[in-house]
Amino acid sequence: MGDAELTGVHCRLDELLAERGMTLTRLSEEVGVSLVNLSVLKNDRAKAIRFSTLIAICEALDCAIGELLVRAER
Amino acid sequence: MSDTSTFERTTERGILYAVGTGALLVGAAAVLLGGTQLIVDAVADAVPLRLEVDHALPGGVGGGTATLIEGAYDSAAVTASGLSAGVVTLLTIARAFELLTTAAVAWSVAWLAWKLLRGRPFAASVANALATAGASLLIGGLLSQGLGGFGAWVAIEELLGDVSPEADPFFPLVMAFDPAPLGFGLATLLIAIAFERGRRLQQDTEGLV
Repeated sequence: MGDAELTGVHCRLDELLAERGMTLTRLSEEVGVSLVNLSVLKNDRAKAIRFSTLIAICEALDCAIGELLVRAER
Repeated sequence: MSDTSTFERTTERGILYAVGTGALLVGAAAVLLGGTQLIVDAVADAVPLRLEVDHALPGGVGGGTATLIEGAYDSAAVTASGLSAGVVTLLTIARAFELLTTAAVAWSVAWLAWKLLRGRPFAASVANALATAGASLLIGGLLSQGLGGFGAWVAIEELLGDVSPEADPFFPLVMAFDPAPLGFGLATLLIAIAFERGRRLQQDTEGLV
């Protein structure tokens, strides 16, 4: 069972970054969140996310919260 | 700023290494040297005892510019031979509890220092180690003092024969009780609870981005 299946939440960071042609490093610089934490989020290993992180990422990617986080198949 | 934090980090690590190593040495000495001494004393029939004494100081003490107003002996360190097997066993067990308590406390201090060095102080093993140390202090403190005190009483009877108050024995049948180990034990248990709470808090924030 994957991490997303465990938490029930899938983070679409990878897809959103690809659509915008942005790298994780660039996003890290823009939102001020460490590369390690963004990798945790991208790989669905995060168990919780701060509102400030969520809003910063959504602003940087110009997306809605629902586009970034979706329910994972259990 | 960076120099200060580097200095602080180095000092902190130095203190942790010193405390951890010191605790390990104390624990090892308690088990190895203390344990060996315990066996040697029991086999050689030379049991060290600390007995209560209630006698005034001998006359003629003094001679300097200050004056001794009052004073008394309160304990005597003696070595007894020819004690019955039961007494020797009691006293040996009491000393063994003392050594085990020392070893348990030293081990938990060393483990805490090691986990602090690794940057993971709020681990379940640290809370368990501290709880073990606290319980050891409580149980070991009670048993070593209780068994040691009772053993000393029987030893006094075997050493002096008549121990009735009328005979005014040199070593009266009194038992000194030191509440310090119990206090330290309770304090250590409280610290163990704090570490357990810290562990749960840390667990709650794991995976938080």
